[in-house]
Amino acid sequence: MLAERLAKDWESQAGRTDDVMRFTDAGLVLGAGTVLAPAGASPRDVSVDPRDPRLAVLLAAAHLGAPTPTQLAHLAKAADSRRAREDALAAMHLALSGLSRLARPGADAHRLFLTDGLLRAGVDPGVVLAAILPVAKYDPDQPRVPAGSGRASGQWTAGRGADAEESKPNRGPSRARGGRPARAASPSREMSSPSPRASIAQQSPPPPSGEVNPATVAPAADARFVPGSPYRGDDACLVALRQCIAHAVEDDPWRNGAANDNSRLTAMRIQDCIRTEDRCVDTSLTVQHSRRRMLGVAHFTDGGLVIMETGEEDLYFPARPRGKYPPMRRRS
Amino acid sequence: MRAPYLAAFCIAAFLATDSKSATMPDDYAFPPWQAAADETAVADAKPFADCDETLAAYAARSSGAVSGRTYTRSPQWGWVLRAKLAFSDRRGPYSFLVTCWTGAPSDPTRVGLATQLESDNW
Repeated sequence: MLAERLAKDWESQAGRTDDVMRFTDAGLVLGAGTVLAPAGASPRDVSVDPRDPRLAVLLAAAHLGAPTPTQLAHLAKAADSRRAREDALAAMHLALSGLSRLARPGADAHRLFLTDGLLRAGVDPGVVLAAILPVAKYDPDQPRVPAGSGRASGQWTAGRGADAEESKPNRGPSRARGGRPARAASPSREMSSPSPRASIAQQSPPPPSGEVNPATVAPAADARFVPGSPYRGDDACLVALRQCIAHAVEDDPWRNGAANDNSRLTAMRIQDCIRTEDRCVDTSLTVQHSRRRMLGVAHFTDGGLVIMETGEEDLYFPARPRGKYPPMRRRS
Repeated sequence: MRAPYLAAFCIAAFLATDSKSATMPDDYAFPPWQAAADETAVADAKPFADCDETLAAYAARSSGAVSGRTYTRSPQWGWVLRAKLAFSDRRGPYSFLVTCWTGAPSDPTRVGLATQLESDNW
């Protein structure tokens, strides 16, 4: 009965999916109108509790991997910013969470929709999570590249952790086979997941080194990114976004000693960065899906460039360094 | 005795630092949004079929509305199609400048697609 009802409900939703996480009058919404965090008295009254098991299970269903505490903290910050009417900052935190876009909108939205239906019907979140994560071939014992190894830490490795030489390259396997490429910042590649049966509320693994502490003012670049040098990886658009936002903050006249607070301009510049990253991902997908040999270029508003070639990982050329002010770095 | 070694070390360190600067190879060069003086307008859209198809695929993926197409022939870039793509989000409408080129003498078979946000904020 439940399955039939969900199938019927899905059919009525078909065609109305959104692959980008947004704040709407109903709250924080993703996919086929699935509400991740409901709005309260007003549309802006949205709270995200990073320890909410329902939220973690929904996100795990959407991205086929459990969200990290840092990613959830970004969503909480996004909701806080939304309540404070800081919409650009809210959008920035959604983007930096790495959870805001569905990699395969149709399938991911459907899975998210069904999971929401199961939870509403009273199915235990732990049971749903245990059912989801094997689909992602989650193996908590599979070794990862450790931090400080000179490679992107937290990624799966085929060998013995620190000693392994054969870490998987930072690209989606589907791209190498000519299929749909992994999206930038695909959460399934960034997540460090605990046991599916562990209490989600008690998860506290150290965040992967590529993540940004949401409590800091400005985002830091990916751990593998060396300021001033090109960066190659499927997440080049995301790295470019982070650098673009950092440059927007660094260029802020108020920060640089001007008398007036020009935060509105900075917010608009951050919005430009976010919009460019959206289209950067679209350009990358267009290039990777092309039957012809293609070159794609996404020109970020801070001067950074992301270059895409069919069958190759994306390549980011950062913008010129910003004046006398040091680049924004993550606080430890 | 140490001074020459120190100077050599400083020069080597400078060169090493300079070589890390993000210089983009010519392989990745792309035509500017503004047409160059040596470009000529083309009325026949047939040579632009690959670019029209690419632009349509990109617009469909990004849900953008295409407007203001211009077709030119460039000695450097080959057949160049420029267009604007209009989008809208919660903060309002915005547009991207899209340049597609194909048949460049340096790489005749490759299709290029360059995108940039139209913004006065920077």
